[in-house]
Amino acid sequence: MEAAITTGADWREDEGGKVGLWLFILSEILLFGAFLASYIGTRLGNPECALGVVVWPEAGHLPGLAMAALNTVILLTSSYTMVRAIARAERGDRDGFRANLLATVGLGAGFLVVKGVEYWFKVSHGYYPGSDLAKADPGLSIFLSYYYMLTILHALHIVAGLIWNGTAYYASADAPMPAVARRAEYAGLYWHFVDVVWVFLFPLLYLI
Amino acid sequence: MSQDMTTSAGGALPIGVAKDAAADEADALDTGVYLTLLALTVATLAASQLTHGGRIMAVSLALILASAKAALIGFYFMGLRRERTMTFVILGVGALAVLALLVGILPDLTFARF
Repeated sequence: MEAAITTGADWREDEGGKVGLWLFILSEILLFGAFLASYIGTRLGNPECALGVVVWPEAGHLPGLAMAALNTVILLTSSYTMVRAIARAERGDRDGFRANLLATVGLGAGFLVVKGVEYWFKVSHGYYPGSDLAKADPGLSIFLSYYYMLTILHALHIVAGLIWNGTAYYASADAPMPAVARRAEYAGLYWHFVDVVWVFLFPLLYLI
Repeated sequence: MSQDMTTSAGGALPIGVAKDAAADEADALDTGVYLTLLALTVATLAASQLTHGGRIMAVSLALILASAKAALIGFYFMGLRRERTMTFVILGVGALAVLALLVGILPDLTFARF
């Protein structure tokens, strides 16, 4: 009887936590989905920043695209190291888990550094809402507002993911491995979701 | 890694060896998915160059490739292929809501005159 109660409690903690996390991801889908639907609608219905025509002015477009492509590779690689970290945790390999999670945190921080350089590059070229360049081109101004809003919102999610992963790394020093694996799985779900958001932002903001 | 002395269900291999083989197989699958994601990123960049100026084609290709990448991340990295129906119901609600938002915008675009 006692064993049955313990099994039930385990299910509630593990499965309940996972369902809760998927519900949280649902709220994030709605958040980003609403902004992206608005963005697509604006560009579909607006001849000044029409979808299918790259909005970025020629000057400085290629370096920005190169940095965004680099960030795509960085985030995909961080998702890969996160998967490896979770697999190591499930096998009870603490050192392997910590090494891969540390790599994930490093790559996430690298993403923010590249993003910061990209912002600096764009602002120094006058690509921000309210600049003389944007005032002269209403389509560009609309696009830049969406660009900064969406990418900053995404970067804030990266920061949250780094804090989550950093906490999981810190707690993994001496915690039992089953608990470490469960925390890693939750942190991983969130991190992969942030990666999925960027997978959609990259072509929509830089390529079309 | 230490290996159990008992045998696997088939009786051919010690359980420890079977676990190591399964772990290697899982690692190889993850690496394959990662390399596919990188290849799809290159394909996205190439497709954007090929369809420069073509609105419908550019948007469609970009969204199809992005969806393929998202599906790979979801099913393999996030473990959706092992999840229960409840998770798909939760995600389905999100997908339907975003689709409703997109469809809701269409009449405004259809009747807009520029």
